[in-house]
Parts: sequence; structure tokens; C-alpha cells
Amino acid sequence: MLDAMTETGKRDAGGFDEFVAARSGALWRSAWLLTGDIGKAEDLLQTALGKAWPHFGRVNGDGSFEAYVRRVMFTTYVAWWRRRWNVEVPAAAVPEQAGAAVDADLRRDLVTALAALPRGQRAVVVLRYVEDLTEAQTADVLGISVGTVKSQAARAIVALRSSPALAREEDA
Amino acid sequence: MNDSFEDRLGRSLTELVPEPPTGDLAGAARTWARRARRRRQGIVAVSAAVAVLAAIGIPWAVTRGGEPGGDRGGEPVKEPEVLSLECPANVNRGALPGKPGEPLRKGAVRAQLCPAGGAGSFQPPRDVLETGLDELVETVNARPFASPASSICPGTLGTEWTVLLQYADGTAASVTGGSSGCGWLHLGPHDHQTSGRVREGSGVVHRKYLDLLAAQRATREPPHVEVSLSCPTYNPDGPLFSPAAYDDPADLRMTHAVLCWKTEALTELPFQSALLDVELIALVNADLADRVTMRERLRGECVDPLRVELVAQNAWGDRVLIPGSGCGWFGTGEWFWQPGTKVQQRFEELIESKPESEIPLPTAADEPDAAVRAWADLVNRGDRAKADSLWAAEPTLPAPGVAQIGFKGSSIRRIQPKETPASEYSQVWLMEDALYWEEPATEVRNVDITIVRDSDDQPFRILVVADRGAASVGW
Repeated sequence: MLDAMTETGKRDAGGFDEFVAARSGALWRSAWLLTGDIGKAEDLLQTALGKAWPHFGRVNGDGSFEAYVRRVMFTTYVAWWRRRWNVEVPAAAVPEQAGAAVDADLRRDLVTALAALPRGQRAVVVLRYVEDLTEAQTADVLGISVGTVKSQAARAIVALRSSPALAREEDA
Repeated sequence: MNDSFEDRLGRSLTELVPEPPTGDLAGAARTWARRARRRRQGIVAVSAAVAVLAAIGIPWAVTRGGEPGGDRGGEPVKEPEVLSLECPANVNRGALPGKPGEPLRKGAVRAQLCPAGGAGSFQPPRDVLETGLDELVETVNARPFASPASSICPGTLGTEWTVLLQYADGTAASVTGGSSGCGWLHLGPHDHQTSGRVREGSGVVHRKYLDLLAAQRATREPPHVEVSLSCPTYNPDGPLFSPAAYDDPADLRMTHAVLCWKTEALTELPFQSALLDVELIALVNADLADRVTMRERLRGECVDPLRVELVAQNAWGDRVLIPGSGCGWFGTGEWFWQPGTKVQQRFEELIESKPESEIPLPTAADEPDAAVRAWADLVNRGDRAKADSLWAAEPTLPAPGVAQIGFKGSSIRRIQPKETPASEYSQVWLMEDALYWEEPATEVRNVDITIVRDSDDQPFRILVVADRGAASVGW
């Protein structure tokens, strides 16, 4: 079965390359916001694409491969937390490449606030407010109920409201 | 602006995201998938002879310039050069040569860098320093005195070293430093109590010694040294890092190297290894010179199906472990190296040339939880027959069609059950509140696992996995 899937993946290698070229930027955004670390984000993205690639031919038939990759990415992200050897490291440095529109100190504050969220809340925030998924879509990706999405989103918003980076925009 | 807080949150978070990585992401993903596929595939038996040759921890001896391998016959192994300055097994700081705190005399004829304790040890250079010694002495004596009373030193752990100096009249002296705390220099014998005669700048002296050694080596032929490379173990039989190669791996100029890898699994598996041929060593040397960065690349640990490390040695006998930080990167924390395409391909070929380590079935000598770890590993390898054999009853997990599971153990204790079926066994252990999940499902379950056997000469088996409901982990 796995061989068959891999062969399918090989046959659709060109399509997979095109998919990665077109959508890796958006997937990268999620990966970085989940991990808060360039290295970990690269690893998470690579792992998600690697896990999904053998299924490209089968899943991409109805255009849902991106959703599939996203699901794999988020479940991998959650699974990494469970592994004892994957030490959680709080995000400390804000990359220099980050958008110039936001002041560095405030960016750091927002990264810290995001990193302080429990993983589940962080995942909900990224899916709901960065990727603009609906509550139902978010629940589907994370494999949790819509009610859990609502409650986790509400808790995350309360925590993030204290971020000066967002408060400043609110005052503006 | 009238947009909501949630809108601003999304916009602000999006602005934080750095530029995505460049490179062949699709190709990297396919490589990852092939590795994972190999991990899941069954085990191919290999001949005992090949296994013995590849066994870890068996050093092989070659002469400088020869092909690695040790089984080529021909030139006999030459003994290492005898050094006149031997590093002591344990440095007694109070008995080191020289006068406490006194400046060093010029005119030393030999010097040897030795490990002197601390958090990390290292393999001392096998060649003594015989040139530039007055320069070294001047560097030491020029270091300013420290002010221990007013200094606040970070409690960092580091490597301690001693340079032993020998003079033509038979006298000796020493200077000791390290990267712990303030990195002070102690001249001559001393204890751990600071005094008014310690100096600053251990790093300057250490670097000077290594620079002088490198300059001396540039004018000499390397000695014949025994090559002894083995993959790292939890209890290494000796220090592996050489200070002569630590700061910049490009300076190592390796002549022999072995690639070590092991599959990440709940069961501790041995390293597999393969020697690098001369062509690949040249590629790696060139790659290290071109592609090493001194910045920290990865924080935390990347989760990769394989843990890959490189153990290398150069013509001077310096050995260095280049640990893999996962997902194709190597590094020590001081520098990072992502091998280029050619090296990556050759590493892949070496890894693929050997069958994956088998998950060993627990024996009677193993702890009860070994049965659970082996079961989870075997399920994930796709070897359901062996996985099922680790149950004492009809297996109830994983759910039909699930190929990948996760498991995180918890404490385990022996119990005296009163009810069947556990009460039918003479030895019953209970692991409570372990975590179990199936992928790609995200729900984590708390489970109690009953593990049993009837006598000490039998391995433990899983009897029952009781589902206690969804676990609240991180949500």
C-alpha cells in the first residue's frame, strides 16, 4: 500500500513541486507562528510536506491537498509537544526580516505573548485569525469540537489583549 | 480603524512572520518521506559477517594516508609517538608544577595542553608544542590580574584545561584556565579558592596555544597515529572532542570519518555506522570549509526519523564528534553545518546501503515497560505480527487501519490484583495514566496498562489497556 502511494507520489512529482512552490509561503507562515522559531518552523514544514507527499496523488484529486498538509502540520506540531525529547524553547529572538511596520520591542512582546499560550490555543489563533478558517474548519483540522475551538479562542484572545503591540493599534 | 481586535491580531501576527526559507523544499520533503518509509518497512536480514564489520564500538587501525577499513592488510600499524609530557589522568590542581601566581619564565622547550576537569573533557593533542613557546609565555604574563572580590561570574559550566611547560633544566611550570565562570587563569599550583593573583583571559591563552600548534603543524609531517573511531555511546570510554578542532570544524581537515545513525524509537536502538571513503571525506572537508555558520541555527531539537552524527579524525589524531541536530543539520551549539547536495546524497546512500536496526523483542531481563515500548515501535514499523506477540491476551489496540501510534509512559508499580484475568498471573505491574494516541487523529487518551508474566524467566506481556478518557495535555 505504501509503495503504491509512493509511486503515485512519484507520478505526480511535478504537481507536488508546483504545489510547494505556490503554497509553501502560506504554510511557512503557519509553521513559524506555531513554533516561533525559524529552525523549528523549517523542520515542521518539511516534516508536514514529507508526511503528506506520498498521498499527493490521491488527496490532490479534489484540490484538498493543502488542507491535508495543514492537518498533518498541526497534528505533527501537537505530537512534537508530546515527545519527551522535543524541548519547548520559548521564542526569544524576533527575526530581523520581520515586517518593518511593527516596532521591534512590540513585535517581541507579541511573539512572547503568543509563545506563552498553550499549544492548543496557539494553534487555534493561527488557524482562526491568521489563516481565516471558520470555527468548523479549525475544529476539523485540529480534530477537536467546535465548542473547544470557541473556548480556546476566547481564552487566547483574553491573554493576547494584554499585548502592548495590539493595544497600541487599538489606541490608534 | 473600525476593524475588530481579531482582525488586528491576525494582521499583526502576519507581519511578524519572517521570509520563508529558500531551497528545494519539495525535494527535502521527498527525502524526509523516503527516510520515514524506510523506517516503517520491514527488516531485511543481513549476514552476520557484514553485521560484525559494521558493529559499533570496534575500533579499527590504519596508518596515515591509507584507506579506512582496517582489513586491507599490508602496512602494519605503527605505535603512536611517545610523548615526553603526559597528561595526568586526573589533574591535582594543588600539585601542579610551578610557583603559585608567579609569572612564567621564558625558555620552555615543550608544552602540552591537557584536560583539567570541568563539565566537559577533551582529547589532548597528541603532539607537544615545541615552537613559539616564548610567545605563549608572553601572552600568559601579559594577561591582567583579575579582581575576584568584585567580580560576579556566571555559573556556566565549561571545560577546564592546563598547559604543562617543560624547561631544558628539567623544571616545569603550568598555567590553568577554562571556560567556566569568569574564565580566570591560575599560574602554578592552586586550589579552587580565588586569590589575588589570578588573571583574566583564559580564552586568549587557549586560542594562542591552538594557533601556535597549528603553525607548528604547518611545518611538520604528521605522526603515524592509530585511528580509533566509534559512534557515541551514553558511556563513552574517553573524551571525543579535541580542542584543536572544536572552534571551527573546517580546521579539522579530517582524514578518517565514520557516519553514525540510529532510528528514533521508544526502544533504545544501537547506532549503525559506515566509513566515509576518501572521496567523500574530501567532499566533507570542502563542505565544512564553505558551509559552516557560526550562528545558532536551531534551538531545541529537531524531530527527525533518524539521528545522524559524524565522528572524524585527522592526520594528527584529533578526533571530533559532529552531532546532528536533526533534519539534515549538524552542529555543536557554537557552529552549524548543513551539508551541500552532494554530501547529503552520499550520506543518504550510506544510510540506505544498510538495513535498519531491528526492534528487539523484550527479554526476561527487561523491565515491564519495555514490552509497551517495543509494542509501540513494532506497530509503527508495520510489524503487526511481532507487535501482537507482545500481548498476553487478544490485542485491543491499535484501532483497525491505524498504522502509526504514539505512546508516552508513566510511572509503573507492582500490584496484587484480586480479579481475573490479571489475578491469574504471579507478577502483575500497572502503568497508570500513560498517554496513548493514534495518528493522524489528535485525541490523546489516558490509559492504564496492565503488564504481566508468570515467572522471572519469562518476558513481560501486555494484558489490558484500559481507556481512562481524553487526556488534558496542552489544550
